[in-house]
Amino acid sequence: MGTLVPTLTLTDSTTFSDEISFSVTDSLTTGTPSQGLTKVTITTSDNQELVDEAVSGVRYFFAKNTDASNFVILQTTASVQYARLSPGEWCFFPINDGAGLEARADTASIVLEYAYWAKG
Amino acid sequence: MATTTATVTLSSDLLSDAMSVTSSTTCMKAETTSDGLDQCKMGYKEIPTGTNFDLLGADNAAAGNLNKANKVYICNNSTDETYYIVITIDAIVIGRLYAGDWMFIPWGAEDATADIEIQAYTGTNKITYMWFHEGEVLNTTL
Repeated sequence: MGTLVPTLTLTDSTTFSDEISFSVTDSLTTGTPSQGLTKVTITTSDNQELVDEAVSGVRYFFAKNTDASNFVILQTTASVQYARLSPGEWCFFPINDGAGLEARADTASIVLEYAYWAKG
Repeated sequence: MATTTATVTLSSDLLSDAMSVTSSTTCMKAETTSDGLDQCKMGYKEIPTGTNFDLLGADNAAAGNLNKANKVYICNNSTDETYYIVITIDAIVIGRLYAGDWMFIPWGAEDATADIEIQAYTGTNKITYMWFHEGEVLNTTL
């Protein structure tokens, strides 16, 4: 067992009358199976699976699109699209068994950094 | 330019080599790297058990979020560790947020059915959310 500490900080001092500045953190117990930080090339082909839908349990998933100009789509293993990672953008969210996770580049191949941890 | 910056720090001692990752991004409008998102909605909700509630709808053409940039933060502010919410997008269960857990996702409102829905389990959960987006124009037919 290990501990994953995710911290999010959101700031904005130019867009709204009320400045946004807050931080939230959590402490998550994690176990196996987990995937350390990994770099992989994602092409425009379908079915590039990062998390199998058959593996049971809850995962905490992190990904970053390292490309400077192209976005990447995140979808279930049944190809239901639900997120777009723009150039340089990251995400962090939980995924359940049953849906899995795939990535598919939209315009041209990109390099994706990702990692996931199983809830312990 | 509107500049909303989201920074994540992840530290983990699970693997032999302790990991510490920091990543920062400026929330941009769709298909640009020079124009920031300039609209925002935030809220604090109590979610009773028993029903899958719409949190954010993708079917509102006037809201302009369809196929646009949408950055969504959701945090489960419940304090009982047995409480959790299930996040669904486009009728597909994405994952669970237990008490204290948060998520930040570039929601892809790919079609009119890609709503973000929430269902609470164990008891009434309390959540906060923020939605950074673009293109919303209010009209009288909403």
